[in-house]
Amino acid sequence: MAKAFRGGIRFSETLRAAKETALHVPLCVFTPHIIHLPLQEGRTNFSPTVIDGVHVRVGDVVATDPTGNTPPIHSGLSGTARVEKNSRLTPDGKPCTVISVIGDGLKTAAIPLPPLSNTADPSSIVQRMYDGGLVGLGGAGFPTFRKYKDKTAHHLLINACECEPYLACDGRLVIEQTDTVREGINYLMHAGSVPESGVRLCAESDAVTEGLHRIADGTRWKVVRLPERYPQGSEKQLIRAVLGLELPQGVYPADWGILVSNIGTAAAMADAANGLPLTHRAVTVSGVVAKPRNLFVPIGTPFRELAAQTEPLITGRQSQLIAGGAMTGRRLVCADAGLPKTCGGVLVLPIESEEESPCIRCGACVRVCPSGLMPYLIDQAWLQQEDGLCADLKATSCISCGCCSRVCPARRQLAARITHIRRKGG
Amino acid sequence: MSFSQKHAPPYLRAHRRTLAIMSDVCVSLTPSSVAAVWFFGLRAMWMLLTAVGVSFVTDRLSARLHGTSHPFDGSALVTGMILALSCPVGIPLWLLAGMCIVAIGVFRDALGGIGANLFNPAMAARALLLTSFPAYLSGYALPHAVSSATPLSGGDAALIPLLFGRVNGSIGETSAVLILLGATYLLIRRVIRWQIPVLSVAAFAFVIALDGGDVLRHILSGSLLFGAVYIFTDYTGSPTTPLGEILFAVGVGALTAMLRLWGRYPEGVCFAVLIMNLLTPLLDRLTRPRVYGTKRKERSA
Repeated sequence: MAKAFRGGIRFSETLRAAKETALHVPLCVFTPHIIHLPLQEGRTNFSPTVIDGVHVRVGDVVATDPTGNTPPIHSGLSGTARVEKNSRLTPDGKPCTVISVIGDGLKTAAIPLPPLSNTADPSSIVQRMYDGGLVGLGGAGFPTFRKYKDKTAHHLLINACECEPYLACDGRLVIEQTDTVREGINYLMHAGSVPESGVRLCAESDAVTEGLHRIADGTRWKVVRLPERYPQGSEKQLIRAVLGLELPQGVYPADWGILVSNIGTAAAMADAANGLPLTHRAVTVSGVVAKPRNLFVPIGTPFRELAAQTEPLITGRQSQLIAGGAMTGRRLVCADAGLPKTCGGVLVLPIESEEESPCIRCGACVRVCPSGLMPYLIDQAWLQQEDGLCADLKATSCISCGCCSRVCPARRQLAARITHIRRKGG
Repeated sequence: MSFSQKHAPPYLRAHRRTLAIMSDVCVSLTPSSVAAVWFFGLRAMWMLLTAVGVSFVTDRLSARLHGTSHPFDGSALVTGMILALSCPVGIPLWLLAGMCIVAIGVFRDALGGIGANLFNPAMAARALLLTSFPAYLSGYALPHAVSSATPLSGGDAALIPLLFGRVNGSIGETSAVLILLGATYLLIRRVIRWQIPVLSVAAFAFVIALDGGDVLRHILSGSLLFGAVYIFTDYTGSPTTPLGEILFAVGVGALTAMLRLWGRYPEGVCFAVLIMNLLTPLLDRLTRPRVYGTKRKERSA
């Protein structure tokens, strides 16, 4: 198969083997004693709908976004809610209000929302996306209801390309929850008014592709097997590979009639349609560990407890805990913080030297950049504070995949700098 | 600045750092170095030791003068070895040492340090001293050879010695087989890519053939192969874009042939590289990859 998108990285045998191992570990339910739900995510500030000390059930709304741009947050445990202002129990350690639920061990469920019928119209599915607390579970966390609202799309891409090293929980969803995922895709398809023949299920490994074929059985959905190449799961690269299209910078695919949703979002959609809001998610606990685990846990489960579910091969000062993938995740500042909705991985990784040496112009970053940028030149321009040159080099087209930093023999923090430039707007 | 680069993703980094890449180049130069001592005697060894030693000392001294705290990255050793191997056995050691000092101290570090220097340091220093002390750079003789003429300066060598190195010339550039052995190693280790060596030799051969020359003999003699593997591929002096690399390779190969055929000096590698080094920033600029979601025309000029 031809290389479907520009650049990218094929990971080493060792890393691919680690993923393959994790892909064979069944999902296992794990319930912690406490969960922490921070009320600040990016620029969204949620307001608590519970007061300190009140009893909540699984599925109860504990916070909403007053602007209505982001769906509400639901509790994944039953027990006593605690609202703590200026808590540092957040992944980045920055203080904000955090709702903690101390579990009572009973798993009492809230009264479910009324199930949607199979013939529900798009607007009621979209309303359910909101009520069910759905956000994109692939990483970016874009509110699902906003993506699907009033859209008439021609394509729906269901993304099961888990291209990050180590992670395999999405693959497990495909393999284990065939019916749920199929149902979810059906709702997503109707919500976006996508014709049945416009649905593409995409994966990059044999086991997952096989699972997708079972999901697509009896439908007109097409399964697309893509080459194993990072960042195949990135929205832009996926659209390029599957539909042969490149969207201009700053355009939402949904506005061009292309909807892309993660397989986890599809599974969560099915649950929401059946009345269960998004309170749990699948997560892979892996890295340099004896045995990787795939867990199905309440959102807000403390990272430390997740990491304790496996046996790290490195400890103490040599190791660090990463929330998310090894390429795009974040190092945890506070290991007691809770798992966010968007986080599909907890990794124990060795701390590597971050000492930068001068760029030797080897050009590796240019060859791997999936956006066609010249990372080393942007790095140079940034260090010389040439903002105009950064814009000229199209720094804003960066997708923060981290390929450039990964291959750099001088260990330059290319991706981190370019991401910084992009965030502040070129 | 508000930006903290500490602990930023990705958390998987390449384990091969600059020092490892430079070490690989040194390893790949070993067969040619051993052969140099075999063919040209102990003096070749003294040349190599002098060049590497002086380069290392210059590198450390210059780092201190420039106030940089970067650990030793091995590039000075590569420059030293390349300089020694591209000189004739008759060169005075003081001149070789001077070349190393000029290469590292001036053409590399004073022009911005590794990655930022415009010229290939070894070739720039060689060119400077070749033109300043022309007499010392022409003693190409094998110790026991009858004629001191090199294949390029009118000497007549059979093809077999050209392949294995028993000819007059710069001490490290005489054996095509050993250079290709080094190239194979570098390709396997992915230190270099095939584009520049292969395309530059092809362009060279094309120009020689146009002129009606003996293509094979021209390719095997002089420093073309050594240059194609070790000098044209220098990261700093060659473009970083895939298309830029191709244009660079074609340009440097063709220029080498033209300078060799019609130039004042017998060999053209050195000046061809310097000219193309100057064009590298322009080539990089003109051949920027197409940014995702833009058309080629939209690419900013």
